[in-house]
Amino acid sequence: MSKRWEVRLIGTGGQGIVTASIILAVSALREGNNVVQSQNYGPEVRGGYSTAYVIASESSILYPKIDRPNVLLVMTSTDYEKYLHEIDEDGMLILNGEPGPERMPDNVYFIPITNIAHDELERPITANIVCVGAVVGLTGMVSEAAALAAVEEHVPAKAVKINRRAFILGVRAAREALAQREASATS
Amino acid sequence: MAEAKLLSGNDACVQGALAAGVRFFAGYPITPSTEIANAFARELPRRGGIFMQMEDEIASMGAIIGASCTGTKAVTATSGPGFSLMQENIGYAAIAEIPCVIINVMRYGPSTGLPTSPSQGDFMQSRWGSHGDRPVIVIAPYTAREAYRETGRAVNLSETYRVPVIVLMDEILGHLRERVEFRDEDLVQEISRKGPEPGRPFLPYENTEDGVPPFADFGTGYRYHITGLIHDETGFPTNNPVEVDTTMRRVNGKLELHRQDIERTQFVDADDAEILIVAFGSVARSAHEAVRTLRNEGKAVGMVRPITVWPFPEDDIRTAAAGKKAIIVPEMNLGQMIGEVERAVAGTVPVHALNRIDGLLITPHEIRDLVEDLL
Repeated sequence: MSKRWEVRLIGTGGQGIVTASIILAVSALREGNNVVQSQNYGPEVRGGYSTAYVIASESSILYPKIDRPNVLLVMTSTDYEKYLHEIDEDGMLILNGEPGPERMPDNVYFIPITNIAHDELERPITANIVCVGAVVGLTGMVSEAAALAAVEEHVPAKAVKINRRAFILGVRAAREALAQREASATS
Repeated sequence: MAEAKLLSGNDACVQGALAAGVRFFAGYPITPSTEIANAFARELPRRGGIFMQMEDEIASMGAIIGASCTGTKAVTATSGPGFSLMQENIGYAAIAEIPCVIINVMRYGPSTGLPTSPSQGDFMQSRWGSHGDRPVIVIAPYTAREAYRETGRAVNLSETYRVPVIVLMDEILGHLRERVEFRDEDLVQEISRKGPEPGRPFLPYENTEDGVPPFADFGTGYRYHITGLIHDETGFPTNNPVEVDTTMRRVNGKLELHRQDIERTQFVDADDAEILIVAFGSVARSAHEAVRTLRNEGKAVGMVRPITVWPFPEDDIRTAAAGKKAIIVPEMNLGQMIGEVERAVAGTVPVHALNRIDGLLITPHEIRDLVEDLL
């Protein structure tokens, strides 16, 4: 890991994005990196605005906040124009949903996270693990093996199997999005 | 020493306290300190300890004072309004000289304020929050690793000097999780208060040479009196001006006698710096980052970070500040520690404030900008 990864996840309380960020942090830590993970939320327990983030770097992390993430995943909106200005100039924006007909900027990816969890896995609660798979598949910030091991540790024992599938489907959706982008770039 | 793990600042406090032998926690959960109560509730029963959820923070302080009287190492944790409520009993613990530790995870105030936002608004309250002159030690860690080690040290200092010790955290450090890899120097020792000497008459508030009387744990056969009234060496109340003066000077002076043991200050590139930043807690992470970046650009800037913030390390600040062009004191409040820095340097070096009170952490960028203006 030569760069400093600054990954922010935005969602609503109860979606499990804090757990998703902890899984990313543990994976990066296991691969020998320094990590800082934290979250912001309002006073509500569920339904309020919730954001979690991970910083991962080979060098020590002093300043524990993110100003402009180089990866931003938004669970709650497909309004890419709104979020594009919040990321670093080399940053990647990941939105939960299907892309519209218009041509997207190269650094914007759509992954149907909710649909995968709802329709393919039939367990909407696994959306946060699909989200981990999507981030790992699109960025390669940690190895899939390290992330999968961390997923297995951070979900209830009886739900390991379904969450493993959620992770794999997230990675697969990321690969498809990357392949499509490649295809449209060469066409 | 151990493998690297992901640990939050709040959990690190709990681990450090347990390592120092804490076996009692009483508290009333409040954001952003609640994870501390959660972790003690989980960990203490496994170790034969006791977790008590109280009706409020006044009772929480009362409970840890009572537990401590039996010789049990006791901790509470709180934030904002809860810390205000604890002040009366912190004063009681100080004058009755009952060892105890209060972890205050600072949030934005006054009043209910911004419950989920950080602040350094309790710097002065931690020192002066009770009525009357009272001693206190206040320690402000800036990483999870340090939160572990310094909470352990807080417990040991409270036992050694029979004084309340406050661990001054903030929302940022409490809630972040980070890679922690403990090394040998992080090892927390278990130090207990000194007891009565066998064969020697026991005076519960004896004017000992080191300023610290022996403590007879309740239930060990000693019969004596503890009170919040000003007392003489026997522990019974007195109005006698000579005795009052003697007690108050000893109780308030004992930390001065042991400053060397109590103080802990970090110096980062301070010797040859032209501009010196004095910062504590989470803001010191931004300051440290700013120093790292500016040094890479060849700029002469350094940092002094009080880890023990009270007693304030005046000598360290004065020595480090000698001959500097300027001092910057960044704080997440309207200017509290800056007064202590100004007092230490007594006009010999210009001191500049950098304050942020919008609920966000001061960034390294803001500090760099001010340094570059002053260079």
